[in-house]
Formats: sequence, C-alpha cells, structure tokens
Amino acid sequence: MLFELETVGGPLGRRLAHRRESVAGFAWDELAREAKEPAASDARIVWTQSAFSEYASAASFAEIASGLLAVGAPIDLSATAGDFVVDEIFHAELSARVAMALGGAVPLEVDLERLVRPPSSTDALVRVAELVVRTSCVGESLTVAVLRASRETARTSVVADVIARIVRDEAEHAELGWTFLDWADDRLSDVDRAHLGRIAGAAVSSFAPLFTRQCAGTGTLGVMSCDAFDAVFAEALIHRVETPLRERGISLRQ
Amino acid sequence: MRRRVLTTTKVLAVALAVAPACTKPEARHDTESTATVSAAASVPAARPDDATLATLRTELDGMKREDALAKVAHFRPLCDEAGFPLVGNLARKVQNPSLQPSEVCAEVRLKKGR
Repeated sequence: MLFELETVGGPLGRRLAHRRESVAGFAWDELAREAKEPAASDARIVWTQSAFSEYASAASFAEIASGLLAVGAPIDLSATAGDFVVDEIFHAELSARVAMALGGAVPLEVDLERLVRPPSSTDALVRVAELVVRTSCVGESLTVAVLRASRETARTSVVADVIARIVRDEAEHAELGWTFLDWADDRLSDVDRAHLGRIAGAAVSSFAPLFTRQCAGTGTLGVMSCDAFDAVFAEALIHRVETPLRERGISLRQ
Repeated sequence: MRRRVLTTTKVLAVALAVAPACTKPEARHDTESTATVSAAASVPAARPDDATLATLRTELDGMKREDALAKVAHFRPLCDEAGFPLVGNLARKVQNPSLQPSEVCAEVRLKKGR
C-alpha cells in the first residue's frame, strides 16, 4: 500500500491536543512560499520517508512497551516507552505537514504488517533488550545526531523549528535505551551481551542506508548534503552508540 | 454509545504525477460560486470522499489561476478544517498556469486569519 496518514479528530483530537498543540503554530505558508525546485522535490522525498520512519518508530516503541510489561520492568519505564508512541506519531504528523507544505508526499510503497523486525531470542528479557538496543540505543541515538546536523541546513525557520521539535523528543528516546540496560544490567549474562552486540551491529548495518537517504545534492530544507553526512554518521556511531554500549559490556559487532 | 459514522482527515497524501500541461483536463465544472471571505474560510460540513476530492483537484487543474482564486469557496473541500490540504499537489514536468491544492488552502488560511 502507498503510505498516507489520516486522523479521526473529534474527541480523539481533543485528547491529544496538548501533545500536538504546536502543529498549528508552525508557519507552513512561509515554507510553501520559500520552497524552490529542485530542493523542494528532494525534500518531499526525505520528509515522506521521515514520516514513515517516525510511524515505524511508533510501532517499535509499542512493542517495547509491551515487552517491558511482560518482564515486570519498572512501571515508569514501561509507561515512558508507551508515551513515546505518541511522540513518534506526532513526529510523523509534523513530517507529513512539511511534505504537504512542499506539495504532497511522494509515492512510498510500505508493508505496515512488517514495521518491526521480530526479536530472535526466546527469552523474554533478551527479546525486549533486542528491541531496545535496536530502536533506542542505535536508531534514536543516530537520529539525534543526524537531525541536529540537518537542522543546520534547514535554511527556513519552519524546517529548523520542526527538526528542533523532533530532536527534543528523540534525545529522550535514546536515553530510554541506556536506562533500560542499566536496570537490566544484573539480569543479562555475558552470552546475552554478546548477542546484543551482534544485534546492535546488524542494526547499524541496516539503518545506515536508511540514514544515507537523508542526504541529497541540494543540501537544504532539512536535507543534508551527502558530503557532510558521512562525517556526522561516523562521529555519532562512535560517541553515541559504540562507546555507551561498551560501557555496559556490549561490544558492537559488525 | 450509539454507532457513529466516522469521517477521517488526510494529513499526508501522495502528490500525483500527471501528463504535461497541454493535456486537456478530464473534467471541468462551470458552476459559478461567489468566493466571499467567510465562505472561503468556512469549514465543509463533512469531509468529501476521495473520488470527489480527485474530481475537484482535476477541475482546479484545468482552471486559470485568477479564475480559481475567484472560486476559492468552491474548492474549500480540498482543505481540512484548519485549512491544510487533504490531497497532494499535482507534480508536473512543465509549469502549469493553474493553482495547486496547497495554494488554494494557503488562500483559505489567509482569509481565515483576516
């Protein structure tokens, strides 16, 4: 199916209003006026993919929340993971608004039944650890770095504001991973840690091409130039992923 | 609670690629409507279905900018309650003199804010 998003509104809209109050506050008209080709076309691709990535992240955090509840994790940890679902949906909507202000989404064929890679372990704790390492420790940590660099290329205050709003949440989303690993520290064996190192390595390999799509020749409207991308990604991998994992006894295995 | 009929609002819609601008528009309605500020900014009673939106977008595509701007109220259903487009723009390989749905909705929001 082609990726599109819709809302019901009414009581549901009112319930979520305080979480998405800033949507109307962005100057979407200004963005529509300032966007020029070919940058706008590049940006429509990136922001459509971004909306889908955020949507997929919502599915990941829903699985994580469910997994945390299944292993009796601290209830505020489980609740926070559930709360992140709303954050990610909000980010998907913000990305969608940018794409629509630029003229509409590009056709993106998606399989919504396969948003989250199923964990491979049979142990409930390791299963949720796999999801957390993949989503928070790798995915969200790298996202924060890439988005911060993208903000520098925004050239319009609207796109910069949207990215800033998303980054604000993503930093917390990454932090959840480290909090989980610290809580689970005495519950994970050396074998488990070795397994999680392989999961992290596989996650880096699978996310890298996705992030690379965030770059383009134009380097504007929140799209990084491909020249700038590599250095940002490499630096983030070392300092935001590899080092904190190693501090928790998990070696990134590529 | 009684059963209700829910209507949804598109917040992300695919922009369609169309034939070059010289292609004859498929549908064109000549029904005149008066584009007053209040009518343009008013909220449609119910969200139209996708087929209706597609027809309306096609109609918009076959119209000159100035004619479309005079009929913003007629094209108001292309935008949601807050004045954001429910359909994507039509991506073209050549410049077309018509308005895009996002431009109509920008006009709606502009008039709403006055």
